[in-house]
Amino acid sequence: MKSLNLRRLTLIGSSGLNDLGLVESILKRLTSRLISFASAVLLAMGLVWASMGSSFAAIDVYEFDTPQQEAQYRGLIEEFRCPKCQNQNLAGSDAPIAQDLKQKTYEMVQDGRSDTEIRNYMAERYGDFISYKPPVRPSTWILWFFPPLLLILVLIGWFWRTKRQAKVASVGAAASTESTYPSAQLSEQEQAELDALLSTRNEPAAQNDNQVSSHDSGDIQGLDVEKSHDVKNSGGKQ
Amino acid sequence: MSSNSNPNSRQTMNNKQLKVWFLIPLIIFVGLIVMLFFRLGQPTQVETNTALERPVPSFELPLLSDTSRIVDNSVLPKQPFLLNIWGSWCPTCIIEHPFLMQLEERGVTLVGVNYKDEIGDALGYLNDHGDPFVMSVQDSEGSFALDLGLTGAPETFVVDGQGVIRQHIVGELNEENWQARVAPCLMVLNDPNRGDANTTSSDIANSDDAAILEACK
Repeated sequence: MKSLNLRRLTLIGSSGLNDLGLVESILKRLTSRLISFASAVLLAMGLVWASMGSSFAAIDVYEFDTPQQEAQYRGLIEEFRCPKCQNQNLAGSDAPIAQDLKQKTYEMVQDGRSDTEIRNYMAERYGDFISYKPPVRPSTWILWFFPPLLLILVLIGWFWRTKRQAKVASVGAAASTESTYPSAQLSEQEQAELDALLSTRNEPAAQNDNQVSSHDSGDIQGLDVEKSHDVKNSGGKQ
Repeated sequence: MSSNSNPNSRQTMNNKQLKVWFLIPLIIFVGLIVMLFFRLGQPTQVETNTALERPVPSFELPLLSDTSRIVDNSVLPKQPFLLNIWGSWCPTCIIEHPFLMQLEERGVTLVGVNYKDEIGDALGYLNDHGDPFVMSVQDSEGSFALDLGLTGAPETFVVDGQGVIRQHIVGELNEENWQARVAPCLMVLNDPNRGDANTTSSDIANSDDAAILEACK
């Protein structure tokens, strides 16, 4: 089919696109093929979806007086966990006990009991385990409050960090001629000492720029000198 | 020159920080491995034991042997006994059954709860495999089992002379868990001094309860 199309397309090319009727028919063919392809894809997707649907628990045959009751029932069986086949909720389980619990839930819903009453009934028999929504009480505080607390702490830490960085940057920008780090500012005496140190160190390479030589020196003393020196000189460039 | 040196030193600091950040996933990963390793081979099934330390829930159910007779808690034995939930449809119950027959021979009192079963199937099952129970009640709706907090048949509850549930065995009862769990529990419950201690002093009764809790884990 493809080669046919190609041949036709080359045909059009060779005939210089004069035959508009032929182009139209090819376009029509292409669109119809596209439509059939799309519908096939949709059908396949539908089949997959249908088979997925059938892999869930058998369809319930309960009838409800009101849509509210049905919604209540659906919500509860979604929330309750099956005690036998753990990690499934009642809605997804076909275990005998899950069927019983669904039946019980249905009866209680039909009786007009509230969600809380039904939850209490279940919890009395199966404990906190029965619900995928654990109750809030001191023993479960860590479960409920630790994640948001962690998030808040991380956010505070992040804000604090960015704020500090912004402050450092702004201080550096404001004090263009001064050092960024106030502690690194040298008193006159210190400056004199530094100059003395540098002059003694730079004697062998007196013609060199003292920044370079101090930068090249690798020992601890040299590093210290380099640091204060750099800070002093490049404060404005930060 | 000096303009170059400062960004460079900053760069190396950033590289160090970067290394630390790259180490964090590794640390988390190792932590997870250690945590998960210690969970290997441990039971994953959560057992719910809400019935423990409570009286047997009240029931009004027909006797399996004579469904016209409705019985309640008053017919339960007055000495410690085992309450076994079974059904002819339940494969593990069939596996468990010979051991229940052995227990009956050893003089253990067994009460059966026939759980969600057809009467014909249940009676046929007892005819074929033998009846280890002093009596069985018919719980065709499964409502009594629900009150017991059942998760599925078979399950066995150890009940003391006062009708209080002291132990809950989920799944099959066999020689292994009998020796390890049920026999020590029943021994304490059957202790003849226990009743006297209860009446003489509340202090002794409390220590008694602690002993039961210890034995009936």
